[in-house]
Amino acid sequence: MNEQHSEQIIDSFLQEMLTGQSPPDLSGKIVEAWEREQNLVRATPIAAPTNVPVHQVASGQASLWNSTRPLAKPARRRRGQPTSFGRNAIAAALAVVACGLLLALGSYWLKNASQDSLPVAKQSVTDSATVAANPTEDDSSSPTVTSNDAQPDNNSALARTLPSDSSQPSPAVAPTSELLKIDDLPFALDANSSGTRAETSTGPLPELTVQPQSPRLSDVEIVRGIDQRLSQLWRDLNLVPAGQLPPKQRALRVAQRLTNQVKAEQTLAALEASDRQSDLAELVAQLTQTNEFAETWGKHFSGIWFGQTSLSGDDQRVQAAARRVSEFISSRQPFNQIAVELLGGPVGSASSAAVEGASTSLSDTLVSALAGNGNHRLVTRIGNDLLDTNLTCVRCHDSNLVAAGSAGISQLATQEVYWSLVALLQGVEVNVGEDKVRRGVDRQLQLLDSGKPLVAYYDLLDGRLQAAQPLLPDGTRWNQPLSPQSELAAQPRDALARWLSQSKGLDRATVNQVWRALMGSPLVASIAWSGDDPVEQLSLRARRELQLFLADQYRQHNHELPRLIGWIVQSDAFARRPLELSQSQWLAADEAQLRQLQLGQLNFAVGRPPVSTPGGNSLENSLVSILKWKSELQPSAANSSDVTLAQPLPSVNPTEGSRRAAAASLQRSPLKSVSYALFGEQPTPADEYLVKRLLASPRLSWEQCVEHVALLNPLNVLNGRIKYLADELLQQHSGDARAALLDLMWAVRNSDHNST
Amino acid sequence: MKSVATSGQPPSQTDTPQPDSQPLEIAELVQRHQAMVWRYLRALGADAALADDLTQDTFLEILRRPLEQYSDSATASYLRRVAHNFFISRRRREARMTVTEHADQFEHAWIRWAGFDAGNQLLDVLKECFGRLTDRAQLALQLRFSDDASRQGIAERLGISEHGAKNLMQRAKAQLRECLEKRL
Repeated sequence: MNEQHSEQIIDSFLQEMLTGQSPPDLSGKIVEAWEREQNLVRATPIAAPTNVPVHQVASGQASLWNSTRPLAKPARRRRGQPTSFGRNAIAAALAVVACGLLLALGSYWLKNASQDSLPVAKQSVTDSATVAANPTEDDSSSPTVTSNDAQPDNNSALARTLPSDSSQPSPAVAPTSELLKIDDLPFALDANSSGTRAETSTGPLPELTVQPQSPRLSDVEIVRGIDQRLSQLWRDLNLVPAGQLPPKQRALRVAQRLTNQVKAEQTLAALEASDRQSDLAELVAQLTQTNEFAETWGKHFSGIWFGQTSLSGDDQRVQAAARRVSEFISSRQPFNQIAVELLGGPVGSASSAAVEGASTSLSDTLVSALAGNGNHRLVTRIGNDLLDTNLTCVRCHDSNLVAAGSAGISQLATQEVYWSLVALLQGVEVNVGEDKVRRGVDRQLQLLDSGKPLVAYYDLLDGRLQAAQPLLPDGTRWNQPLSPQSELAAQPRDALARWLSQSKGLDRATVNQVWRALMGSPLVASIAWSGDDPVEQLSLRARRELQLFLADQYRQHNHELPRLIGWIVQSDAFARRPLELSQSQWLAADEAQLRQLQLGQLNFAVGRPPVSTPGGNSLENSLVSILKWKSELQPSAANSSDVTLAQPLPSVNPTEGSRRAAAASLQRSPLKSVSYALFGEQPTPADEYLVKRLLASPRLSWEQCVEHVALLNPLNVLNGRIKYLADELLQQHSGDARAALLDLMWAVRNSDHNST
Repeated sequence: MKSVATSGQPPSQTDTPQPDSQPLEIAELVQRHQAMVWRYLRALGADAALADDLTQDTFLEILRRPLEQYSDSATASYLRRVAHNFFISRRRREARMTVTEHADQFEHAWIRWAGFDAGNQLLDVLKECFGRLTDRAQLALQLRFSDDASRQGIAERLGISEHGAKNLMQRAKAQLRECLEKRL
């Protein structure tokens, strides 16, 4: 507990005691001010809005909006609009001007107020609240106001009731027209859908259909399963996979990816291995037993969980965490149990003195790295790294994005889930000492001890306030045992950690992270959308099915991480050669060829370099690259290579001539990655779809659109610099928001090559 | 030490907050919580007049944005949050940056000392503990808080040095703190 705060509080009570200045009774003033506010609006004529959109909740969507809430609210206040204090000031000024008239009116109302007039007054109350609260909003943005509960007032005329409990809806209230049309959301379900997820144009979603559990397969069968699924996908997409590496090179690649180095003895063994798969399996089995394997993958996962946080890679706690994960992998425990250590371990005073270099728990490091400021970064990272779900969108609204046009979605993508996680993590904080070192603190037991409810309040899009309970992501209470055999968790953080360790989301996340480390990009992005393009829909669905297949087998094989890694490196796709075209060939390729190459890489028909660190080029650098290039009409040979081919020109049709000219001016080595040329030349249909939906929403400002795109990679931090660069981009496109957002999309993809 | 957990048992949130079955009258809502909000604002650093204004603003804001009444403590917690935000906004407008923005920590400290009765018990215990101080210590604190006297003025009144006055008040507050910790 902060000593300064304690002293402050005690001093204030001391002052009250010694001065005798006790809290005044402000109830009369407050009620009078409230009455004045209502009377003011009642006395002010309100022009009937001529074009007020009447919003109805689409059928089947009521559950998203908690339709039992009786009191409708005005549209959510956007940034820059007056605060409640500002509105009060305006209301107070108007009250002064009309003071005399209002006093006369007020006394007339007080004398003659009756039950019959109250329901009307209540409706006017709400109307006046709308106007008083939002005096600068135009009519088109002010939704129609509905009435409050028309409950008879049994008390004095001065009394007003707060909205009733949702369990007692008033029969007198007409169905509200205040609720927002679901299409106003950026990512509403498509108009031709029936509103149910299973009936979207992408077909039934695997996770939502009841499927019999697949049997536990052998390693060979699983590898065959990967190969068959990918081969089928390549056939469906008319992709010709790249050639396979010869056995020796394949073995070398396996050794490099598993141990991050090529040891002489393994190399020799690999070189002497025959072409038979069983020898490759033997090689994999040997490599996964080594300390180098554990160290490599310990660093990799540590980089995922603690990378791009407030703790630098040099922080001793981060290094200790990497060692601990390596030890865990060496011990061959089920890898899902790492989640318990990662989030449910000791934090703060229960952990060792971390900064001095002593060993510390993974939880302490994680909390120190991500907690604080409402714990939003912590929640987002839990979603991304442990649940295979990008939760950044659902902080502010339920997200249908991951449902619309995607095959297989996370069922966790609701605002309630996000804020329930926030409530679950209340009391988990961080202190920054005078030495500027962040130290995690856990006060959950104290909060529980004090009886303080762990509730997180949040705003719905329409401005109504909602309270989230500390529920686990599947809606169960944290203080229920996960199974009849399991113990009760002592605190919510512990319960969440245990739940995560058993969740299928963690299995999918692990599969994605391993796949990305080995293959260069995740199997399925944490926010995956395919728009209306049938090719992309097919691709996404197939990759999702493969992810679910691997996650299921991983689970059935007791979460053995080395085994999961072994399946992937023994697959056919792992042995594919990478692209080796010259830059001239890239730049000279026509659109159809580029598209095929893009699909090939996306669907692992061609090899990619591995991910050495989870983070790549920063978003800021990618944006600067775009701006540098766009500010020059002709890139000169003197420009750095990272600028020249950053050529996102969605608003300008690329020409053969410009690409060839650019190629001719350069004397550089062949490109290793497709993304520069491909993503630079044309946005994918999925990107176009996303940007179109963002811009079609009347509720999103430019800044919010930027935020949506930037946070497609949840590792990005939308700071002032990024916003400034995005604004510069918009200016360079002469206000063409679509073009600017597509450029930003390119930058997000290339800021961390393998996150989206 | 305030505690609601049964000793020996892991504390658990056995009472899931449920909305009140009856709506609260405005006047009753204000009566129940106004003292707490006012004292909270004073503890943050607001003077009496500002605390009056911001208390009013807090309740008006609540009336405009109704919430489900889960429990008194949940409502009180929310009121404090709103009040805290108002206070910070006012301070920022005045370009006065000496404001604690660590709302969670302050909230935790508030619950520790003031509990759920708006601080009435704290006040009572404080009076008792104050009565146990020496006359000189009581006078020093009286001069400091009630008369807003300077350290020099206190020192002159007590016939001691400024340094001595400072030490006297520090020891007195430490004794008060110790006494409060034993009783609360």
